[in-house]
Amino acid sequence: MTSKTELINLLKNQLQVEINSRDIYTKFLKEIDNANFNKIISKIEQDEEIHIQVVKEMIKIVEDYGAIKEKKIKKEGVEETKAVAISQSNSIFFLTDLETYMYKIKRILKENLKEPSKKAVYVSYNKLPKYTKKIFEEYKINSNQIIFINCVGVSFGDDISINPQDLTKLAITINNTVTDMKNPLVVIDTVSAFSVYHSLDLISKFVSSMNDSARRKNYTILWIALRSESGAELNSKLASFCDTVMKE
Amino acid sequence: MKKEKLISLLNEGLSVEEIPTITNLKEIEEVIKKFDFDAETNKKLNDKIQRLEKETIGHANAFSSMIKITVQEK
Repeated sequence: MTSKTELINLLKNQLQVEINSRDIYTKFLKEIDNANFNKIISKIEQDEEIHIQVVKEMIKIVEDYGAIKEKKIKKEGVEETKAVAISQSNSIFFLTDLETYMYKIKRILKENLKEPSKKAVYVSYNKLPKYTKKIFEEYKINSNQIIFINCVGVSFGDDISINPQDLTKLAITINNTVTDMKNPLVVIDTVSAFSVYHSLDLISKFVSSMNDSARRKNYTILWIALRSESGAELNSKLASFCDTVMKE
Repeated sequence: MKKEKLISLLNEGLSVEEIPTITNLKEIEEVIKKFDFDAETNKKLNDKIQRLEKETIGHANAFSSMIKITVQEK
């Protein structure tokens, strides 16, 4: 595939994402009966309409441009280095930004699941797994190597569904799921979202207890945390419970 | 509308903003970096990407806040 085609395909994919988002919010506005929320969602829907135009403009810019040359950039094996660090720790606190976190997770997973025998457990705490799975599929990550646990309160196919308020059940489920796996990677997406339902104290106890289980059962647990002013105290406390802290 | 159903819809909004939208934008940004566009085109594309990223993060934060309000409502 030429460089130009690659970029145009990505932009066309983005155009579809923006169109789908707008359509989802149009549907929300018919279903949700909260006036305050609808005011916000209506503004988001209008933004999506503008985003559709912006992406169309980007496609035109690239299409009208002549041949695109690729810059020579030295490839640094960052993902490989990270994968080694991850496999050597039982608990990792991964502090990152909302803008880039999924982009980084898919690279970490791809590198860690290179060997077909490797397994992972992916806990989607507040997001619908169908979107996560689609991103993994596009990035050629084999979903058969991953067991999905979601806490959004809705069942999806073979996924395990847990009530987000029931941390005891979540802990038992994770520990039961990894029982027959050899050194699996457990990804928690994201521990920051726990604060919607739980106190700092309870989240701390949960993280500390899961880290103990990871050491005993020899698995790696990767706590994804997002940088934010309101989450600073939580992030600082949770980082202190983990073997390794990665900040990106 | 039941609280659980409302949270489920808001979770979907959050998922749409945080997963395909932000992730794809980052991918596009990285691909643009690899290419040797002239300075003007590069700026035009980057300005548009920055705008989309900034507004998408705003949307994700708005959905997070609505989820929090709904969860904490008695």
